[in-house]
This record gives sequence, C-alpha cells and structure tokens, in this order.
Amino acid sequence: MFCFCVFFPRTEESDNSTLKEFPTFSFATLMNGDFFSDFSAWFTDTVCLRDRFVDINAKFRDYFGITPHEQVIIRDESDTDVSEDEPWTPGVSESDSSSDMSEISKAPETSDTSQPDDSSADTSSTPPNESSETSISEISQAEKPVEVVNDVLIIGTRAMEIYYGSEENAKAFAAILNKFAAKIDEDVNVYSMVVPKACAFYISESKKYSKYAGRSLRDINTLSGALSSAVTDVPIYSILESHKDEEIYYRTDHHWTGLGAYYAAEKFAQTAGVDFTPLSSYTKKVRTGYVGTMYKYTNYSATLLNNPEDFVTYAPTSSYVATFYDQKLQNGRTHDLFWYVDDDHRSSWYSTYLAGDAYSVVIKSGTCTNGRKLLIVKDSYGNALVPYFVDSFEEIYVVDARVFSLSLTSLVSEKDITDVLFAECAYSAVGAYRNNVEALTE
Amino acid sequence: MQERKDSTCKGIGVALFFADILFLYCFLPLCVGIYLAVKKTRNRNFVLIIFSLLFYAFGEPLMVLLLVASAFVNFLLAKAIAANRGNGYAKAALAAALIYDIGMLGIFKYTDFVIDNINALSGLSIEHAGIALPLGISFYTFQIISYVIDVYWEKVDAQKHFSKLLLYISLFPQLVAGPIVRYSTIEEEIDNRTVSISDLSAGATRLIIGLSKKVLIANSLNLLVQECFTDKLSGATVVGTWVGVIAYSMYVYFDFSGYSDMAIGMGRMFGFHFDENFRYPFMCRSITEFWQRWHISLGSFFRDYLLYVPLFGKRRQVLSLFLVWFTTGLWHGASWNYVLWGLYFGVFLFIETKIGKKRLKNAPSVLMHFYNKLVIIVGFGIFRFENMKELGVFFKNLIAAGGNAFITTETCDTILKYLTVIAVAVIACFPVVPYIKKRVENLSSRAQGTLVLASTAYTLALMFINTAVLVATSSSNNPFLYWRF
Repeated sequence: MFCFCVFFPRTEESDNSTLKEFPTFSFATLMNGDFFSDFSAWFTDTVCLRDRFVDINAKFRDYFGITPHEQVIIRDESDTDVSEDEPWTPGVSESDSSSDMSEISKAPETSDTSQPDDSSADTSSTPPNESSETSISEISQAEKPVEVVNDVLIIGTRAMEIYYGSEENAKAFAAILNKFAAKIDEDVNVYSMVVPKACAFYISESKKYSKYAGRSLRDINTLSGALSSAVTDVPIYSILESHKDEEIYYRTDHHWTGLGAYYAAEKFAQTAGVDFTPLSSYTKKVRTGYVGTMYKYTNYSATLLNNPEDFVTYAPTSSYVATFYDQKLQNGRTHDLFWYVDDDHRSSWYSTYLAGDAYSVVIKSGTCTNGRKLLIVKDSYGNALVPYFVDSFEEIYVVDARVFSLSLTSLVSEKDITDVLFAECAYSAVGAYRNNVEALTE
Repeated sequence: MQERKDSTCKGIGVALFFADILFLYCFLPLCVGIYLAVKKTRNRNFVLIIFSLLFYAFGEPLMVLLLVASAFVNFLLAKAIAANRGNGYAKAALAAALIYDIGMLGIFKYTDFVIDNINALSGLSIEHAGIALPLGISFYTFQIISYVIDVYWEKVDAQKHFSKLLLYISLFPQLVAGPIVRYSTIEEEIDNRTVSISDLSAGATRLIIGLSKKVLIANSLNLLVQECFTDKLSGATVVGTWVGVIAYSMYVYFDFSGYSDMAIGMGRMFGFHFDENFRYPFMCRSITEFWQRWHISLGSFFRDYLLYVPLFGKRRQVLSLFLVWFTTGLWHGASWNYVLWGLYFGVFLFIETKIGKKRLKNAPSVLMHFYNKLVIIVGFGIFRFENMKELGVFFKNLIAAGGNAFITTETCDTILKYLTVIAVAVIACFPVVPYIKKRVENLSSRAQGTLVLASTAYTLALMFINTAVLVATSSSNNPFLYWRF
C-alpha cells in the first residue's frame, strides 16, 4: 500500500472536483503549518485511482441504513453552486492560442469562468440597474429578500437543484433584453427563451420543498410579461411540461437532455418562422452509464452512482461547417459539433455539445440558404439547442455570455445577424448571469 | 466539516493525524521500516525521536520547540529533585516544575477563557489573546507532571539522559491524544524492548481496529448527530434529540477509544506496552464503575496525583472530590459546560459513595444499568453544548418541554437512514471480541487456524474501506474530537 500511494502515478484530474494542488513552498507557509496541511491534502486528493475510492465510500455510506425516498443534501453556503461549476472541456489546452488544430487533447479543467456569486437567486433587494429603471426600484423596495440555499434534492433516483427565484430579477433581465432590442436595428428579431430547471416539473413530490414548485413558472411568466414589443418570447414551459414523463432532464446531471432541447428548439423554429428538421432525421447515439455532475453535488450519493442513465444525443445528418473560436472570435479551428469526452471525465459528458462553454462557435449550414443568420447568447443550457438549427439558419453564431468578450451590438451589425436568441436556464436569468449579458449589450 | 469551531480550537493544524492517508501510508511505514532495520535499542530510540518530532512539526512547526523546551526544563528540574533528596531544594524544584508545566498549559489553553470570565464579571471588554493551542499540550503536560511527581515520590529514578526523557514525552503514538502514559509504565522499556512478529501483528491489528472505530463508526455517527442537531436544535424533535445525544455519546466513545487503540497499537509495533485506556465503559453498573472504564489514564492521573494528595485534609472529602471533578471537567475544555459536566459526575459519584458499595451491588441490574446510562447520556449532552442557551434548549427538548414536536417523519427518516450505523455502534459497545476469544479457546487448532485467517481477511477488508473513506473525505476533514486538548 505504501508503494501504491507513493509511487503510483498521481491522479491528474478529477471530473467531480477540483483536486488540491501541490502547495507552493515558502518559509512562511512552512512555519505556520500551511505547507504541511496542504501537502497532506494534496497527497490524499491525488492518490491513484482516487475516483474509485470515492465510489467505494459512496457505496459504503449507502449501507448506513434505509435510504429515504426523498433526500435533502444540505450544502454549506461556501460550497460552489451547481450551475457555476463548469465541467471539463475537451480540447482546450492551457495556453490561450490553440495552435494545435488537429488533436483532441486531454486538458486541465478550465476554471477561469467562475462567477462571483451564485446564480440561483439573489439575496438583496437592491435595484439591479442603478439607472433609469424606476419601475424596478419601486418593486424592489416592496419585495422581501429571497433566500439563498444551496440545498440539493434527490427524489427517488432523480437529483435536482432547488429553484427559489426572484420576480424582480426576472424583470431586471427582461429590461436588459428590452434595452438591447431597442439599440439594434429594428429589423433584427430578438427572442427570449428561459429554460426552467428540472425542479419545475419534478419537485412537487418533495415533502420539504414542494412549496417552491410554482416559482419557475412564476418567474418565467413575469419575465415574458416584462418584455417589450421588440422582444419575442419563446414559451417552452408548457411544452416541456407536456413531455415531462420523457427523458427531458437528466437525473444525475444539472442539464436538460438532447430530447428536452429538441422540443424547445422546435418551438423556437416555429416562433422564428424557419424550417425545422424533425427528430427522425437525426442520428441517435446512446452512451450508457452516465453519472453526471449532480453526483458531486449530492455529496457522492450512492443513489445516483447505482442508477446511471443513458446519455442520448441526436446528431444532424446534413452537412455543415462548425468553426470554434476563442472569445474574441479569433484563432478558429473546425470540428464536429459533438466532441468526444473520454472515460476519465465521467461526469462531463454534456461537454460533448460544443466542447462545453470554452469556445465561441460559428456554424455555416450546408443546406440552408434562407439568408437568416442567428446569434445565440447562452449559458450551458443553450449548447444542446444548437445541433437542431443547422438546417434552419444559414449561419449561426453561438456565444456564452459569461466568457465572450466582444460587444454583441457591434457583432449584430458587423455580421448582418437577422435573429438574436437569448437562451439560458431560469437560474441564470435571475442570477448574476444578467450582469454578463448587460456588459455585452452595452 | 469540523464538528464545531470554538475558541479552544484556534490554530490547530489538522495535518498528519492518525486518520490520514499521508500518515498511514507514508509516514508510518517509513518509520516502522527504518525502526526495524536499525537493530540496537539506542538507535531505535533515536529513530523514534526524529520521527516523533517530525510528526509534531508537521502539525505545528513552531510549537515543536515548546515541546522540546518543556521536556528540557523538566529534565533539569527532575535531576535537581533527585540530587537534592532530603533537603528543601527538592521541594522547590518540584514546585518550580509544577508551576512551569501547569503555567504553560494555563497560558496556552485558558487565557481566553479567563479573559471571558473577567469580562463577564467586571464589565470590561478585554480582547482575546488569540493564543493558538499547541497540539497535545494537555496530554504531554500531564505526562511530564506525572514523571516529575513520581521522581519526587521516589517511585522512579530521574532519567539521566535527556534524549530518553524526550522520547517519553514526544513519542508520537500517544502525543496527540493520549493515553496519558506514566513514565513508570515504560521506564524499563525505554532501554529494553524487543519487537516480535506477534507484536507487529497485534499492534497493526489494534491500529486498524482503532482506525475503523474512528473512521467507520465515529465519523458516521457524527453525521447522524449533525442531522439531529441541525440549526442549533431549532427544529429538533424530542425523539430526535434523544437519538442525537445517544449517538453523540457513542461518537465520543468510538472517536476517543479509536485513537487510544491506534496509539496502543502503534506503541506495540515499537515494542512498548501501554496500559488500556478504555474497557467497554458502557458495560458499567454504576457511575463509579464508568469512570474506572472510561479514559482510565486520566481518571487514574487525577486519583493518584490530586485526590490522594491530602490537600484539604483527610476529613474534607467533599472538597477534594469537588476539586478533582472540577479539574477533570476543565481539562476537557476551556468552557463552563465542561466544568459543569465534571461536577455533574462528581455529584453522582458522591451519591454513590454515600449509598455504599454493598447496596449498589444488591440493587437490581436493570435499574442500575438504566440509571447509569441515563446519567451518562445526559452528561454527554452537557459535554456537547458549549453554548448555554443551546444547552437549555437541549434539556427542554429532552423532557418535551421545548415546544418542539415529539416525533416527525423527518426524524423517522433520519433514524432509518442510519439504522445500520446505530446497530453496529451499539453492538460494538459490547465486549464482542473478548467474548469470541473466550469461546474460541476450546475449539480445535484447525478451527482456530481458520478463524485466524478469517480475522486477518476481515482486518484487511476494514483497512481497505478505511482507505476509501479517508481518500473520499479528505477535503471534508473529520478531525478527532479530543485533539483540541
């Protein structure tokens, strides 16, 4: 065992958590004991086969007794929020300029996109926009501060975050979209698609949290009600609800599935008045044994480990060229829309869509010639929508509001964008994500 | 996930405790390996001193100097006592040593507590000194005090070599968390000891058992306790509070006795034979017996050095008892709930002495067991809640006077969720292994051989699970409860 722990290769990365790094040595850290405690933590964290041990521990804890149908995992306020923690991105190397175009190399976790605060709900009742939004400030005085709880729920074998929401933040987000739409050319269509989180449809069973079941719909409606005439709402809530018995949200991951995204994409295409390829024309790929991001956030619950799910993707059969750029739309490389995620990163399979959120993507359709050009401003939920639009728009620009660095207003006019879709999950819509969107639409 | 943060926990390095991968799979094998490679006892002592100081430095780089300094001071003073037997200087040297030792302990451990009390009494607002508590100071201070007093009483000879005394004080198995080993226990073994295969095997097995008690049982119980006592008991049901405090009592037992087991096991691997520190304390029939089975090294320390010292004269028994239990409580923590805890037991012990041994013996077993378990469990409630307000809520909940529900589905869920843990813990409180050993004695040698193989496999399996748990919970450290002493 001694040899095993000391001489075997250290675990380089773990999908499910940020491993402790080897501590920097200095006289100060040596003297106050930090070096040693960090060293010890590093040593333990990077033991070979670490993830297998974590699994064994999870199974061991499973034997503690009879697991209740509903499990509430109470997480510290200091724990990272589920939606913020971006999983590993395939193909991203440490150096900024990706000159290595050919290989898909294993890369360290890109952790530079961390948000300052959580995106589930805002605590304060301070006005989000200090400027002229008088209606917002009036409302914010009236409304009580919203709770922020990091708890995660497992009902049966489904894990979900808990959406608390904030009506005033929903209005604030709408205001930003309104402002943007007013700024750009009035011929450009602006759309808003807010994707409810899984809890919207599956939390009603919960003994403790069912009272929050209606929050998602409340905020989505508030947001759409606050949109100006220049922004078109894409109402997907009821559509998703009608399909909720299908696999539209992952049980072990905090994202929606390809199927859920399909229904939403269909609705968008309808709203935008473009062609849309039905599901039957896609190539369905199933990868079994997925235990996603929620495994970590439920404190490695054996319930999830023992009940993996299928990861289903629908790949378009028509031709397209997808180019992956950095956040300034430079240094592009072409690649399939879907990226391979290796077995070591067992909870990051969602990154197969566009390699996660590290790139800005431009897709040129091989079939569509309708002259429509779409710009999708998204968080990670938007990724799953993209494959369904390759036949619907001549060109598609996909940018992640949290990392993109060019101005959207300029981008729209430079690239002759005809349609702008803001697609994000409900958390982001009422969270700090809004600040990112605001910065890009200034 | 530290159990709770309080002023006595300040500045304690969590690195390199026994329940740690780096320690178990790197430090310890290296130490044992080098130790066994070196043949002469003198060299082995040297190895042990180096590793012990390294071990301490890993957790407290600067405080290791304090440890060495304390050892040196006492070394000199003990020699002074031995050299001056018969004249007044011996007493002076003893006094000096005691003042130094207790003084050091007092400064590092109780300064803020004293400040708090001064503030409370006088209305001042003196700030906390924020002195960090050096690792194991409560343990090694008591060890050194026992040595000096034993020298004075001529129970042992003063150690002529500083290195050997340093070995006694700094020996890493019992340095951090006991047991409080008397110098007289290992005086011989410092110079004369051997390590056989059976010593290694028995020691390693003991180590693994202790580790399992800590990592598998105690830490799991702690999770249960935290669920029962969430939110400062605001939502705790009556049943939940009872379950929580029972689980907590067992948690303290397994945590502490686990560490003692590890210490004894490791000592054995080096050829030392430490005295037992726990003897299935929950099997006691009376509170008196409980304290003969729980933290034996501490109880006997106070008995030998405090109680029988006729401080108040032979007739002032009550006062002596009061002092002993006051200090027992205070030793456990710089907070009044610990003192209360000590005195609480003192009261029951006093009552029992008044009732008399004979009557206690003749009392029905069931009644005795029920009574003492109740006392012990409620006692641990006092032990747990440093905050007096919370303690009050705790008591109210116990007798269903706190306004909380008697039981809810959540409580039931929690109990079910930890059913196996509770069952295993309760069973492990019983002397299962001695019982099995007795029954096995009469079996054939073949059966015994199979049993040995089976128990080896069992021990190895335990170690494997321990490793898994330790790797998985490294970031959420479950530090040992008693190390803030």
